[in-house]
Amino acid sequence: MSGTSEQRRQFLKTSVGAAAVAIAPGMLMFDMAHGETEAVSSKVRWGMLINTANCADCDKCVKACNKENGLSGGLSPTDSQWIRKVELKDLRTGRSLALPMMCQHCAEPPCVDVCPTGASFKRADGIVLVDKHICIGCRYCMMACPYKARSFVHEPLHDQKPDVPRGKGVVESCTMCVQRVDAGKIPACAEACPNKSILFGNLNDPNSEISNKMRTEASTQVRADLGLDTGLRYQGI
Amino acid sequence: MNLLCDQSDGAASYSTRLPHNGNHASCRRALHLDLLVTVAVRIAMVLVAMLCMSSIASAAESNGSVAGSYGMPKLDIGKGGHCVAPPEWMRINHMKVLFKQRDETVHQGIRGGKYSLKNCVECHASLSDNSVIGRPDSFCEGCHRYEAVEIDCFECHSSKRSVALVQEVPK
Amino acid sequence: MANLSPLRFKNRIFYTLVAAGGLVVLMGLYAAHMMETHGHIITGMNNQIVWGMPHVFAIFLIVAASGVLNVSSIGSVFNKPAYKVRAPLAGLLSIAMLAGGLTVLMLDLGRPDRIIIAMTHFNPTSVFAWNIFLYSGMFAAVALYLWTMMEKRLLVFVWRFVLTTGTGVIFSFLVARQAYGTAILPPMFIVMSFAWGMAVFHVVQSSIYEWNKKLLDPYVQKRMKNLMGVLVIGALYFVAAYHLTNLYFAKQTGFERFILLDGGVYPLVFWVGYFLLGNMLPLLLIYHPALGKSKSIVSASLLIILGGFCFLYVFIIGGQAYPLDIFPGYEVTSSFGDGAIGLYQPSLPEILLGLGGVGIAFLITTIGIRVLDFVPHELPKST
Repeated sequence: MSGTSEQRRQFLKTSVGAAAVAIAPGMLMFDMAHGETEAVSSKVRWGMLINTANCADCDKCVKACNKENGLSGGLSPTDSQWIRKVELKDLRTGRSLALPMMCQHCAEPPCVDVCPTGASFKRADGIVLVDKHICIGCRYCMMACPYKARSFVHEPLHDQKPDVPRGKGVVESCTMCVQRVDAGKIPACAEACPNKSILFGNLNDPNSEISNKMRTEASTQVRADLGLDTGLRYQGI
Repeated sequence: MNLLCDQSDGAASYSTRLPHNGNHASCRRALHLDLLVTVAVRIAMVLVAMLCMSSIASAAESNGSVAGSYGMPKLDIGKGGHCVAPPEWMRINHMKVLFKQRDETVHQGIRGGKYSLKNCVECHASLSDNSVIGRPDSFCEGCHRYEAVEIDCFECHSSKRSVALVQEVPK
Repeated sequence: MANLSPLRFKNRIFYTLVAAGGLVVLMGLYAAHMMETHGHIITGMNNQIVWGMPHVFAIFLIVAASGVLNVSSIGSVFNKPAYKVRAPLAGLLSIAMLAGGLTVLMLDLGRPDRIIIAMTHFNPTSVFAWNIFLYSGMFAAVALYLWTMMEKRLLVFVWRFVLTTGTGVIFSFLVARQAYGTAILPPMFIVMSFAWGMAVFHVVQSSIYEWNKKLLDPYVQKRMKNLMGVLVIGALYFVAAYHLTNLYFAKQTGFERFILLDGGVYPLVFWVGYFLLGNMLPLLLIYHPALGKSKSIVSASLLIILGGFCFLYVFIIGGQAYPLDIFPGYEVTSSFGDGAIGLYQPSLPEILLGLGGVGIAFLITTIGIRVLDFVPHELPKST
């Protein structure tokens, strides 16, 4: 009798084990097939620290942005420019410098306040975006932005990048390469800079490289007097 | 039906135009018959016109690949195979799932879910021109043209799969 | 002389006017269609000057629409009988100009097909979103006002103050632009609305009376023209205060120099178009003892309207042409127009669209007067 029970026990163990082995991959695959990322949260605040010391005579960040986002690279008054090189000269002292200027991803964005439909919005992780599905193209955000960061698409577009939809009649601006950030990468401008002058990171993480640098070195917000708490800061201006 | 031939003498204008022998009873009868015929002929004409127009319209729409005037268009489904949901369900609900997915992706950064416009295009873009629009049997355009529902998506979204499966002939 | 039956235009004039107005409206709609098909690239607007001629027309029409109701308010809230009889016409003009202005604004949108979204998605911090309610509410309020034979006067009175304030704060809330971002704009727009509304009313009333051989009591005419003069002076005061205050701030000096002195077309339009033709000459026509009769008043009104357009051109377009001061103390250049004066050339589609809005207002007024009882029934001369 015990021999039979022993056999039965053995049989049950093996069959359960076999069943587990059979089902387990299915469960795993179920997770992979259902591989949705989680919603972004305000635990993270993405920002950038830009060191302007080495910016003269280089526009690799602009070229990289245009390539990543499918911009034409044209410079006429109706062409979209998400990032641009600005040459500055101090009126008093004559000192010259250059820096890349793009959407500053403010914590208190004027563009978000004025948008009638809420298309201009701040994502939970601090990236300021335009929901082009509900943008009606009124251009009020362009009037409101202190940094001239926004562009309006003046003509029909073709051959958009699949990850960066853009179209006629809506407003657009630097997205901090949200399609790359959501995939764990850094923005194209930061990656392309040969001097590593654009540092991208999580401002809410006190141990991130960007937080450490901001704590130990001087940096300023552009138009800090407006009280917008920008996500981008510059060194050397 | 209005009684156009009034019993009173006041309604002279209508009654003088239609044939009757002055007897009000036959006047009524005559008018009714006349009107009936007129209205019936008119309704028939309208019906015939409608039939003609619809058959002309469907003839203009059909591109040889339509089974009968009221058949659904035959689509080039690209890679095809097993879709994320049954086609009948998709036909009815694809807009709803896309609307929901786009808000989740844009506002909350949720990516990689079951539904995604980009993945629809990746799979269903034609194997001959890598696009879901542009031809009468393209995956999206075929049905949308048939149903006369304008597609807004591809003004902004790329209608081509990201990696061409077919080498496009350079223009 | 009191004529109690509704006045009718001569048929010929009416149909000519409707045809002309209809043609202008059609051209405006065609321009809007072109803009929607080809994009704003066919206009003169660009990434530096984002609001152009359509907005000049639209804002004039909307501001004048709220101001023309002043004629009604003086009759009702301030209890002046000579104005009471003009209230219905003022109400019609208000609705007509509001419709025209809003049409231009909506058709200029980058995606006018999405206008319904403005009602389903509503951002409570946005002035534009508030304005959607204020403008549509204005239609309803004025319609109610007319329907109830001029009851609901206080509602209309308050509503249009809020609406004009809403138009002013569109610009007031733009903190970063040197031309805007100041609290004086809402009251300035309110007084301007009175002046422009009165001018439009004069032109329309004079035309109606001329074509119908009606006579306006010279006493009423004098009162109305004097009021218009006062309003013009009031508006000019606000503009002066705005510029003088700006001139005091060191950081605003560059902008003021641009607008008033060396900005090319903008000082020209401001001084000649707005100041001389739009203010000085009308005031002369209104107050000079030898002048001040019907012809002068109509001329003065037309000049005031011209002055209004000139002011808005300098305010809206000049205000955008002057570059943002992103790096105070630095001279800047870039590929995106930083530090550079924005270049703008009004294009035909924009002007046609703007005129289309005027055409809509014109059509509504003309047909309204013909079909319903809007022409003022003058009071008997005994009072």
